[in-house]
Amino acid sequence: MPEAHSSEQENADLIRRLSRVLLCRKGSEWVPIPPWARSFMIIGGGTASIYQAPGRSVVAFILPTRAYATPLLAAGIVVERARMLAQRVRSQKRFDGLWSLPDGNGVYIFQGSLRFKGIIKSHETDGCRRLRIQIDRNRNGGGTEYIIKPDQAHHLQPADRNFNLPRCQKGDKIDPPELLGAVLEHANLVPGQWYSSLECLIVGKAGLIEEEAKLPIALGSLTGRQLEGRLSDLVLPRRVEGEKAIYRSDILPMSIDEEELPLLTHDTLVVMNGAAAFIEKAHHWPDHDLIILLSPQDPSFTDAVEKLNGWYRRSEGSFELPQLSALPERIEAMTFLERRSDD
Amino acid sequence: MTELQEIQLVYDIHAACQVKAHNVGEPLVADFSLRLRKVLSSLNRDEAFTFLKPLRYYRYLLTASVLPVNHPQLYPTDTLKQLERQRKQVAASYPRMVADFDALIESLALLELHEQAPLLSHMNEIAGEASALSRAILIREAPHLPLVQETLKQYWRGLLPPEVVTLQRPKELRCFDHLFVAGPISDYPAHVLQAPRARHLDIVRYTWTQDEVRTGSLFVKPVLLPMEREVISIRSTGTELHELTFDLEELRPVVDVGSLAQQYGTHNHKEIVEARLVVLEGGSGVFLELGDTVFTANPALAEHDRIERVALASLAEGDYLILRTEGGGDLVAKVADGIMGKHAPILRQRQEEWKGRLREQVGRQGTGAVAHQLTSLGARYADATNIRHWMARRSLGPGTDGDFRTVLMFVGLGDSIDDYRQALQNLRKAHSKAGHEIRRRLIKQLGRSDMEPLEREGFMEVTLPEEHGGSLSIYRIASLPRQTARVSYKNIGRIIAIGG
Repeated sequence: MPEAHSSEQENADLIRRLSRVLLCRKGSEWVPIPPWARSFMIIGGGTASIYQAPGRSVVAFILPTRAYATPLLAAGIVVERARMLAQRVRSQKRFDGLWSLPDGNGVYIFQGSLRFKGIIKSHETDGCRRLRIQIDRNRNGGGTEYIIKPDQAHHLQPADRNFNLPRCQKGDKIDPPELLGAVLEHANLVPGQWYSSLECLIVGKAGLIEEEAKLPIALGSLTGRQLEGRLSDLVLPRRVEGEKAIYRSDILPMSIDEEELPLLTHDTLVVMNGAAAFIEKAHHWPDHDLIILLSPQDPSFTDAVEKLNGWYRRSEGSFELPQLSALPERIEAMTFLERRSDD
Repeated sequence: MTELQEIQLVYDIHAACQVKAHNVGEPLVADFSLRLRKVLSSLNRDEAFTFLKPLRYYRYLLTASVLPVNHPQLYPTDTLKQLERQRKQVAASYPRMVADFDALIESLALLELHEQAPLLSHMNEIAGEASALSRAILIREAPHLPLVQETLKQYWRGLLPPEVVTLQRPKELRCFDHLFVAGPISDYPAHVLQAPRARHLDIVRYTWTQDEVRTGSLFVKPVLLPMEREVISIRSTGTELHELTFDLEELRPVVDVGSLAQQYGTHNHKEIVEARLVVLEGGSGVFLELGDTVFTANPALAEHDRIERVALASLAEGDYLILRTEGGGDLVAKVADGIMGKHAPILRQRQEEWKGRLREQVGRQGTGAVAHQLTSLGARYADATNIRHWMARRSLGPGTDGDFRTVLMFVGLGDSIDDYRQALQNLRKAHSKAGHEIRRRLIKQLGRSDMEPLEREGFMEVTLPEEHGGSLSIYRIASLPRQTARVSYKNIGRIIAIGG
C-alpha cells in the first residue's frame, strides 16, 4: 500500500522523494539513480515555477557532459508541473491562457478517459468568466455544449489547428500515462484530466535526446510495487509518445524551419540542449523562460558562454533558485532575469 | 546504452580532478629553439630562405611530441643538408648572421644524434611514482598515434605502457586515473581542462613553452563560488635556459589566410563569396562559404547517428568533415539538381537573380545600410549576419516568407514575388530531400566501413556507389582560423594545400 502523504510541504517535495526512489539499470540489476541524476530532476522541479518571476528567467549550466541531463531535467519539470496542476495551483493562469483564445478556436475537451474535439463558441462574463465550448453540430446548427469555469481549466486543451466539428462524437479513448499517474497518486493527488500540453520544449539533437529519453527506469518503493518503464514515461515528449497520446513536452530538432515551430503557451519552459541549439535557435523564443545546458565539448561553447555573459550584463541581475544547491560539485550555473519584450 | 552510473564517475572526476603542470628542462631542444628564433628573426622575410619553414614546423612538433627528437617522422633530415648548402649564400648576403647560422646547424646536428624523448621520459618518471589503475597519454598530432604506440614499447620502463589517445578521445565518457597531456595545454581544446576525464591531469611541457593554465569560472556571475581549481606547478630537475620563453603564437605554424585568399580569389566581384578556411589534418585546407552547412562524421556514435549536417559555425577542432574529393562544390546542390531534373536550371537562375541583386545592393551601400532598410520595410531577421547568409550562394534564402517578400521588393522583383517564392519552395524541397538522401547513403556506406583508420590517421575516403555519389573524403579538422576571407566561389569546397 502506498504511504499516505498529504501535506502541501510533502507534495512540494515530491520531486525530491521521487528522485530517491527512481531506479535505473546497472547491468541486469535495478539500482537507485546516482546523485548527479537526482540533482537534475530536483533542479528541473525547481525551474518548473520560474515563470512566476517578473521578467523572463534564464538559467544556464556548464556540465562536464550533457549526457542524459536534459531528459532528467525535463522529467523534473513535467512531474512538478503535473503536481501543480493536480493541486490546481495553476488553474487560474491556465484559464487566462484559454480565455485569450478567440471564438472559433479549436480545443480538446476531456471527460474521464475520453477526449472530444470542440470549438470555443463564446466568452461569457456573467458574474464570473466562463467559456462556452461546442463539441458537435446538429442539422439545425445547435449541438452539445459545455460551460468551462476557471477552476475547470484542466478539462480543456487548445488545439494546434482548427477543425470542423462532426455531427456526433464518441470521443477518443485516452490512455493515462501510468508512471506519471502513479507518482501523483502516491502524493494523494488526483491527476484530474490527462490532457496534453507543452510544459517544456527541448531544442537540440533530437535523435540523441530521444534515445536518452528511452532510458529504462523503474519506480521503487514509492508505489509499493516496482513499476517499470522509461524516462520518457515521465517526460512525455510528443516526438516519442505520438500526436494522439498524452504529451507534456516536445523535442525539436535543430533542422526545424521557422514555419514548423510549435505554438507555445506563455509558461512553456524552453530547454536548450547544447551551445549550437542556444546560439542558433534561442531567438525564436524571446519571451519564454530559458534553461540552457552547455558543455565545454560543445562546438561553439566559447561563443555561447560569451553570448550568455553579454545577456547577463544587460539583464536585471541574478535571481535565487534554491534547488541549485543540489548541483553536483564544481558545476557552474548562472541565473538572471531579463525584461520580457511584452512587459 | 550508457548507464547513469558511468556518468556519475564523470561528475566525480570533474569535482575532484587534480591538475599539475610539469615543466621539463631539456637544454638541447631549448638551444635549438633559441638558435632558430635568432636566424628566423633576420632571414624569415627573405624568400630565398623559405627552406627554413620545415624547421619552424619541426620546432612546433617538438613542443608536444613524445617521440624521440630525432624520430624520422619529426626530424627534417633534408633541411640540415640544405642548411649546410646554403651557408655560402648566408655568408655572402648576411655576413653578420653566419655565426648564428652555424650555431643553428650545430644544434640541429646534435638533435639528429639525440635519441631521447624528453616529454615521454618525464611522464615515465611521474607514472613511476603513481600507482594508477588506468593511464593514458593525450597527444596533439593524431597521425603520430601508431608511431607513439610503437615508441612506447621501446622506451617505456616498468609497468605496462599507458594507452595513447588523441583529441577525439576525451570527448567520450571514458575516464582515466592519470591523463598525461603532452605539450602546452592551450594547444588542446578547452574541454580537456574544463571537462577533465581523469582524476589526475598532468600537463607535461617544456619550460620554454609554459602557458597559463586557466581553471577559473567561465560565467561572469556564477551562482556558486569558488570555481577555481588549484593548479600545482612543478619544475623538473633538468637544466633550463631561464631566459628562454616563447609566446605560443610564435611557435604555431602560420596559416596565412590572407595570402591564400589572394591566391584563390578572383577579380570578378560576382564570383566572390565570404568564406572561412578550415585547416585539415595533414597540411591541407578548404574554404567553406559563411552560412553554409556541411556533413560531419562522428565515429564514436552508433551507425544511424554517425552522420550529421551542421552549420559551418558549429564546426570545432577535432570534428570530422566530409568533402567531395574531386572538384569541390556543393554535394547537396548536385544531388538536388538531379532531383529537380529539367527544372533545375530555371530554378537556379531565379535564385541567382535575386541573390545577385541583393549582393549588388550590399556592395553599393554596405550590409548595415541594407539591413536597416530591410528592417524598416518590415523584415524581422534582417541583421548583418543573416543578410550575409541570404546572399551566400549555398544558402537558399530567408527562413520566413515575410522576410523573403521584403527582400524581393527591396531588390526590385516585387512584380514576380509568386514565381520567386515558388522557386524557393521547390529548391527547399529538393535540397531537403537531397540532404536526407546523402545522409542515408553515407550511413549505409559508413555503416559497413571500419572507421578505425579515420580515428587513427585523421583521414579516410568513401565512395558512394549510387548516381551522383562519387568519391568523398573525410578529414579531421586541425584548426579553424577565425579570420574570414573573400575567395572565388569556384574554390569553395575544393581541397587545397596550405603548407606548414
